[in-house]
Amino acid sequence: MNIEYEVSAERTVSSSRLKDIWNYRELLFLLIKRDFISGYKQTVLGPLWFIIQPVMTALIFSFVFGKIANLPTDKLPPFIFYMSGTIVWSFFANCVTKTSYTFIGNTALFQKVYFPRMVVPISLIVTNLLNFLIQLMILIVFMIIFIVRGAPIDPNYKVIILPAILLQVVLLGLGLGCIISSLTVRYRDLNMAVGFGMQLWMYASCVFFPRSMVPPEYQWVLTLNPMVSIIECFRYTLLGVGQVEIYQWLISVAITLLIAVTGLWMFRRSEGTFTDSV
Amino acid sequence: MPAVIEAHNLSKRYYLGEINQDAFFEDINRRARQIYRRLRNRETAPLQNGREFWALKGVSLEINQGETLAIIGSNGAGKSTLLKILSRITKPTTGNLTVRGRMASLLEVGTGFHPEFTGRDNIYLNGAILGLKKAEIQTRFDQIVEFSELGEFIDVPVKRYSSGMYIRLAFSVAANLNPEIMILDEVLAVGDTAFQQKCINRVQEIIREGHAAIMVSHSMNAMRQMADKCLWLKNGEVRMFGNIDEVATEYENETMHVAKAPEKESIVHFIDWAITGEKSGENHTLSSQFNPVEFSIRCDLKIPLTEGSVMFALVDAQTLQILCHRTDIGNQPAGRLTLKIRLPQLPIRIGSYKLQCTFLEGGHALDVLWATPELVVASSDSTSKGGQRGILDVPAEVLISRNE
Repeated sequence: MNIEYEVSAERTVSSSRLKDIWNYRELLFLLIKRDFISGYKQTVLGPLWFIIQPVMTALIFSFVFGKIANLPTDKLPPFIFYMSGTIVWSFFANCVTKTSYTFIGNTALFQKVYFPRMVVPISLIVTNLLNFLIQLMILIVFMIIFIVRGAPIDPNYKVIILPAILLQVVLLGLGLGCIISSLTVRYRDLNMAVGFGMQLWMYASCVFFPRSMVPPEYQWVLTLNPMVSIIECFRYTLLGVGQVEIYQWLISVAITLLIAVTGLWMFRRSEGTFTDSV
Repeated sequence: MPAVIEAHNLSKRYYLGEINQDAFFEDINRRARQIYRRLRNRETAPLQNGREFWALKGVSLEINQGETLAIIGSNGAGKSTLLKILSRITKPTTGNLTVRGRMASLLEVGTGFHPEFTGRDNIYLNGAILGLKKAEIQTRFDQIVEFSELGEFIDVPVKRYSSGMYIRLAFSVAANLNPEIMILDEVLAVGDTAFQQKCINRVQEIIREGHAAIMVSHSMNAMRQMADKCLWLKNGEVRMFGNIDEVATEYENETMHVAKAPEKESIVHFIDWAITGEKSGENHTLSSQFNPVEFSIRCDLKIPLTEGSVMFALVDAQTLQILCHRTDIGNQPAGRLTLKIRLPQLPIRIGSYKLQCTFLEGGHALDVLWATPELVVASSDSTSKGGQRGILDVPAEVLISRNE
């Protein structure tokens, strides 16, 4: 491979950066493999954990929110409703949390060798996407079981929009994770807040209640939270139930793009000098 | 063929001080002023910060294929900062840099190893970091393992390695993945002597293949052995850049003067020394190791000796005494004297050596005298093709016989 590069105090051009990442695809592949396998290395149940987590969460939610709190689920079987919300949410939350540790978690490596730093978040996102797809398969298995038993689930052609929604989750998670990881280079406070913040955010994201249940005067809050539209759209396209206001989704896409662009910009600004302040 | 590394006007600014609430408000304040100025369309003056520190100031350099650059300078001169910028670990504050070729850096001890990975996985990880394909790594895998002498430990996570094993693997990976440019920061000082020599040989091989190397080492001998060019950094600035012998000699002269402490109450004062007799070349430079040589050391004895003796020693850059000779001098009155040390020949390698004289009285050491400047052995008469290794430079003869 012919490697030639220029480093300048002024910023580099972004097209060269994309090429740079492509040159390091072997590393990207290796990191994905590592992350994916190390996820269940030294565990007894191994890959089963990918399944246990969402299924157990959905079961607990069905009991607590369905049976005790009696929250409605848009006529969907509670288990499917909660599981679909949980897997999308944990996909997003993992993207944010893992990416936000890019700089702090790889200090030792970053101080010794160069490679495009963006390779790390991308590998994390891809690993999470793979985990998510496994969980999605499990969800589909459960959907089939429920459909056979006559539940009002109606998957149809709208499923083709699903990849777009996943792309939106990726962009939002990557963008936000990049913003946090860039800020934590100087201030560690944010890392303290990430785990806690994501938990609070989940409560405002329609994971265990449908949007239709929220009083009209608070609907604007949900409109500003891009994850609400994402989860609602996910249920709508996959399960064919509920409805989505197109303008609300467009707002969430706009917010997502804003966050993604900001995140990538901040990441690029930090990656060149981050070793100076750790 | 353009230079493999071209750097112009590289500078690096660091901010010192702790990051806390004050720093946070300071940051906000600076940003706000910056935005205000930009809105008012004023020139954004460089934001001053009381705790800034320039680790590197306007450094330019150029390295061509097959060249080895040594970077020298005292602690804190900016050597490591420069290496970090060259290997893209951090961005320069000003200036620009062009690198043509794949670069392998060994910064400080160890390289980019993942502690949880086995040695095997780390070889692949490092290869990928260098931008190699899996197949390319596979073809060199056995070579790397063999070079590292790790044997079965290759399948043990590197977190369980000893520091020697760690550096052996690090070096083997970097040296055997065919980098076009190698950066070595003090790595040759670790590991046992045998492995060190193996590393030096390997680096020389890499250079002979037409690749470039940059090295930082505190062993001036190793640098003289391997480097062609030398960059001397002082307080972040280039003090001197040029041929290794010139720069290294100048550096040694200057640092020797700095190291000369204010004279304490000593028994023997050193005045000066020179190569006398059949001298060829400069007063402190030996250019022919196989001819008789005479050192004249002038000194001032403060007290008379009755049962005196003098021990003359030559010390190399690794503080190894390579020659030591004790002579009784009996009764000596106080006052100036000249010691003449005659040797039939001095077959030692190219490099710089310290002359040391210890004065003894009745077997007890009184005072040690270090002669300055150092003795420089400049050229080799030997026809040996073994490179410039070892301590002695003796024209040996090797004959082969077969008993069949």
